[in-house]
Amino acid sequence: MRPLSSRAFNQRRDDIYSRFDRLGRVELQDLGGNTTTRKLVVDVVVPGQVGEHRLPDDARFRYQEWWRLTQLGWIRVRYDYDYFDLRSGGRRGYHLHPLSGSEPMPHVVCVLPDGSGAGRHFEAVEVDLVAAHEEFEAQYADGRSIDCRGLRSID
Amino acid sequence: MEITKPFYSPHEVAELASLHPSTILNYIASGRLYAVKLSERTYRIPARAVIGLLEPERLARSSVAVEPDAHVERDLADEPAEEPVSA
Repeated sequence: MRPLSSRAFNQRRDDIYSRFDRLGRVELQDLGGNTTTRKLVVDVVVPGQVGEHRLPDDARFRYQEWWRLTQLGWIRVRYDYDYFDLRSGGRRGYHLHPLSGSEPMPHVVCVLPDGSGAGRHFEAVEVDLVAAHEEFEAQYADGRSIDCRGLRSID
Repeated sequence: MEITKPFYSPHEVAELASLHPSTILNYIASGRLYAVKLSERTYRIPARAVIGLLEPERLARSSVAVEPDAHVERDLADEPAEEPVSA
């Protein structure tokens, strides 16, 4: 992902907020913009029912990014993009952070509705927040349960 | 109006809004109505977007917190969170 100027960072943040606010209730935090390390947290919760008889929440999308300020601008150095299926159970995520070594490694986390797969890591390439969200959102909107087929373990 | 499920088809939204389905598709195409694209011709509209179209005053408010002086360097060095998160 290319470095972002502060202006571009803010524009992206605002675009993300506007988009996700049409899917669920958003809590967005932008922390550290005046320092050299910045964190963006976007929490989107979709209620199970919006009518009078409210059910438990249906889905949660939690996206966290850490950015460092360099001479080129803000560079994303770590992320955790997670989708939680609160109705059927399970979790799917794209992460970038160190695993066994010291270098950040992009990977997938995938936990099936029965809880299997917790703590395991699977191959992935770096992804953008919006691309990850589009995948999660389509899976959710289509009513598909969390599925870990086709993933290659890196543990 | 009772919104009872998380997603609606354009046809269902058209019925709720007493509009022609093509109007709803035009809203989607223009960005006025948010929809998730499942395939080239299949869209699903989140309940929140439907409420935003029909009764925007009912929407639970989202929030933005900008804290430019917050220090998150130590947070970056922490071990990654792998815990399951509930709502």
